[in-house]
Amino acid sequence: MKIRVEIDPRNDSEEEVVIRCNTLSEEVMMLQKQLSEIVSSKLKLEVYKGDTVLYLSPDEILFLETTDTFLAVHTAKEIYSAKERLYTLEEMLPSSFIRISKSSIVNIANIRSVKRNITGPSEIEFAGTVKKAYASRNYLKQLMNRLEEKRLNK
Amino acid sequence: MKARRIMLGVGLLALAGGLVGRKMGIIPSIPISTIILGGICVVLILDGLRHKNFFLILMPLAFIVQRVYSYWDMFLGIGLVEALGISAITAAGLTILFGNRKKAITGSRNRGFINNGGFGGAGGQGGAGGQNGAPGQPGGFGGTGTEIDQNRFAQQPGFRSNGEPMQDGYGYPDDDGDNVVIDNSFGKLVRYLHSSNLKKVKIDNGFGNCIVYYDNVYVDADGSRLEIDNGFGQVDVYIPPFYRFKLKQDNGFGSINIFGECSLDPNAPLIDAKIDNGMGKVNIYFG
Repeated sequence: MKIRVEIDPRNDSEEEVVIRCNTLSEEVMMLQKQLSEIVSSKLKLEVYKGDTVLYLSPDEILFLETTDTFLAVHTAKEIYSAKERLYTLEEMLPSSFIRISKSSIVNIANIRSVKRNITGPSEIEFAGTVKKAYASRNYLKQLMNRLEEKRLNK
Repeated sequence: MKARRIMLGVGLLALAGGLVGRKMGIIPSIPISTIILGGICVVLILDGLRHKNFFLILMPLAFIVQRVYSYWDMFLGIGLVEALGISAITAAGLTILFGNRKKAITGSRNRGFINNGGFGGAGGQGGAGGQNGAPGQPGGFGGTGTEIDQNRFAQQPGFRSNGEPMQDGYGYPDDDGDNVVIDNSFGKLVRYLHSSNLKKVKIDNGFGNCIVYYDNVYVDADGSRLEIDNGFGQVDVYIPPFYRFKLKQDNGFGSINIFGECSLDPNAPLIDAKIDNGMGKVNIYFG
């Protein structure tokens, strides 16, 4: 695979990475995934606390949860609100964010433990905070697979 | 009270079941009066379970068992009075061994004392308090025995340097008001409290999972009350650590757990909590 970087000082538009390939091979998909990771990790999420607007790095986020009235963004110590929809953020945020219920997305990078519950939602604990999130049974397998994947990659 | 309504509902269902069973011949020849009394007994048993009252559990149970079995001629000749007497003696023995309805013990982190006493345990694993310098276990009002940082409070968001809550200029369009009532029967309910002058929060939970966050909340300068009535479900309440916390609890067979540490500053606004827990689980998180 050739890698070529074109520098054009006259180009004022947004930087763009294009992958030209014959087929969507595993290698290409991995490359795309890693590029997406790099791009989304630089993303700053616009959140609100009362009248204050803040810009959060995805690393700081533990989980996101929709309520009837707003989208709550949980960090270790604070709760912020966001204006985006949950599904929009699910697409925007890095792949370390995965859905754990119809109303929640969790950042697996901050997960410390998962307490499985056969009859109800499983309890997710995070490092450095008392906050907990709950993964519904429908999404638990996917979560455990991702955590295992993360563990093996390390 | 939600829990009482649920118990009444279950009692009525048991009564209906008894009547259907009688009609279908599953429990033959039991008079309607006995079935009605059986339904009342079910309610009493559930209430006894909630409040860990062995008399309320065993005596109605003995009544039901004796009545049903005597009609089936399976009860080895033990009469109703004898059955009630045996159950009363057993209840007295169990009460002596394990204690009756849990005394409502008031504890605050400042006193460094909390006691759960229920079968469910865990409500204060930290045990003895700050004076003893016991490790701050989860559930511990136990305190770490560390010095109080007087400036810490002033640095907290939502407070002026003198410790008064900042209310000027604050006020949210989705303000929940001074008094908040949260009612959940079944399923999961998540509630984020927004209030510029919170005085009272009342949470009534039956079988479901109720999660409440003190999100954009400024507690009234005179303090705020938190009343939780939990039947069989789970209630999680997240409170910012810069409030003082005082707890009066009445726990049956469930558990009341405290995680994290509340403020030790005597000038910090007080959250005066009263938790009535039946067979469920109540978790208070500071953080």
